[in-house]
Amino acid sequence: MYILNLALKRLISRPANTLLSLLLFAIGISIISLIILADRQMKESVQRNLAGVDLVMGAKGSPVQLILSSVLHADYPTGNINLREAQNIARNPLVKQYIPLALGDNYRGFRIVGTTIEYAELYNAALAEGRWFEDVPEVTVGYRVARMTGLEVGDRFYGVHGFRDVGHAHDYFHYTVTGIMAQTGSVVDNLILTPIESVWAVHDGHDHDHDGHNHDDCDHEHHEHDHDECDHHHDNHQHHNHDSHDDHEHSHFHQAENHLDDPQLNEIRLRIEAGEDISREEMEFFIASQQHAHAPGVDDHREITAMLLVYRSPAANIQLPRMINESTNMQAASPALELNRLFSLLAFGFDALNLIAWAIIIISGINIFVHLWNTLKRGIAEIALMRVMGAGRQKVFVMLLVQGMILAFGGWIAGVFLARAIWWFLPSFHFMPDVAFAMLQPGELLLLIYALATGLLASIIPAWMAYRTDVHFTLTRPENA
Amino acid sequence: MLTTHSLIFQYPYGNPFAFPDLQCKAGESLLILGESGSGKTTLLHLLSGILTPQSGDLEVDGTKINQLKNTERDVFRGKQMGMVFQKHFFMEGLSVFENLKAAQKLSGSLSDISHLEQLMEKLGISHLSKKKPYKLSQGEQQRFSIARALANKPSYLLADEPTSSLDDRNCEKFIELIRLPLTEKPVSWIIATHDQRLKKYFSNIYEL
Repeated sequence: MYILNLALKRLISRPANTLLSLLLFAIGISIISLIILADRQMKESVQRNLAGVDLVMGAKGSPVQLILSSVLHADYPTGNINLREAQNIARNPLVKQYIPLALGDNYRGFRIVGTTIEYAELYNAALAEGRWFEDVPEVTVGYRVARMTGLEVGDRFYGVHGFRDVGHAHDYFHYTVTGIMAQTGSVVDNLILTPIESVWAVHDGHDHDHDGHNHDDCDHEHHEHDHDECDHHHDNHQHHNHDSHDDHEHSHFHQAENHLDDPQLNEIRLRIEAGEDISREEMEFFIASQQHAHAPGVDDHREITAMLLVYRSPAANIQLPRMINESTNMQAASPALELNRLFSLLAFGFDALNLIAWAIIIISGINIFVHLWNTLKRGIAEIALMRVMGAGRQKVFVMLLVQGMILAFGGWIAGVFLARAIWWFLPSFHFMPDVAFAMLQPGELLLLIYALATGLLASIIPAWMAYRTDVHFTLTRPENA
Repeated sequence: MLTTHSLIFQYPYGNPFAFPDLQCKAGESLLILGESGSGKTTLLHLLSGILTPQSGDLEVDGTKINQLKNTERDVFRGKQMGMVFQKHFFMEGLSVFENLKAAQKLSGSLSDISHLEQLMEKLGISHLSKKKPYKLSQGEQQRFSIARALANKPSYLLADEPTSSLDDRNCEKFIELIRLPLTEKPVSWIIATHDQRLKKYFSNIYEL
């Protein structure tokens, strides 16, 4: 213990050198530490934001863009798709659940998402206040939205077209806040959820009288075109009122089932439910029959931005995306796949940063070596004196090693703290939830081992020099005698 | 009691030194006089175990120093022998008091703070205890060196040219210092020097 004390005192007696060594080491460590934090944060938040969505259907374009815009709400959408067409694909025994998304507006930078209550359920969002949105002008706002904008239950606000704060305000249509969600740690915290019809109402709004734009609007409009569609949404609302999620989850599926009067279709459906694979032909036949069941004489021009799909069986992954991409004018993208692709691109950046950080750490190691070497050379008489006072060779050897280790350990601690300080002030990405990362990451503990090894390596030669110090020769050198 | 018997030491590529047999009883003091290059420092370093003789015996209070292992010899020196050099060495990062404590700690002795305080008191450096040694004057540094040499209550105090850079007045002061009853048990001073001025103060003199 006394050796540790002496090592510390020796370092403190050269504050400039010691601070430089610590700082340099800390910079290298903090970069790696930040990479570890960012990597973990990104993967975790993305995992949370995927929320079990297996496939996203949207307009053709960049699949990464589709995923970013409709799952992470971080990019502009690729375009619109026809709701009816999307439903025809989604009403499919391979699909357990489908959720439409209609984007287009924001409120003070927070996206207004037209969807169903199932979207909130997907993220296990709970209410903190008020109730869920039910009818057209109603919105339920995410935790962070409420915190940042100060929106409260009962407030009314106008949406702004686009995804940025500035733009054309839809000042003829106001939303009403009916509820505020509790924190989920997912992207939902940054969203304003509303029935999909709200988004339609806003954008069709110019043609209408704006005083009566909810149910009436829907009934009125849809009576002309399509009874089913409007009824469908009313069904949904009834389900929400009764809070019967189980029924609800299957409602789409059962709707599809109603059309299955063909025994061959029934057989395919049963096989899918049993978890068996079906051939591509069977799948296409099935989808075509669905379209047939829904399509005739229907002219629904309703559009949405994207449709999120949750598979019933993994077999869907083999058939569905290819089918959509090849035989429709929509694209299908797998969030997991596309985000992995994105991460592997980011990984190059991380690797480069990592390399720089390790270069800095190695230079810090050399710096520690030079520091110890110089101190030893200048103060070799101190080592001789220690020996005269009864310290064995091993003691002075260990003391030099401890000095190197203290610098490395101190640099590691400073680096880990520095990383957290930087992390704290870093502007968080839109899709990144506010999660405190005070905890040490396993990667950082590994980093500590590398750091100590660097300290050891840097100090081993000075320590050996100290070990080999010839007391007699040192004390009788001309400058000492 | 410190005795040597036909000590021979040879530096690599150098001529061998053959030293006369020495004897120094507990509490007695000894002056080793010799010109530069006569082997005074070599002899002192042999006595303290810093160097090991090629042949001959060295016995201190019943312990054969030249038969100890390296680490044992380091500890024996730390505990039984104080050393004072012409130049005053110290550990830069430590204060005067911490330096004295280091002498106790590094030799593995129990720390005896009251002894250190008494030493500083008697040597008149109590007020300097928190200062770094390099801030002390030459005279203060010499008293500090003596205090450190006595930190472990050694039986022998080995001094190498302690007075050669001092003027006559300070030389006398040094003699006064070493005659002070600084510790409870008497200390044997073994002084190696070429300084003829010291001759008159010692009865036990070896000339190399």
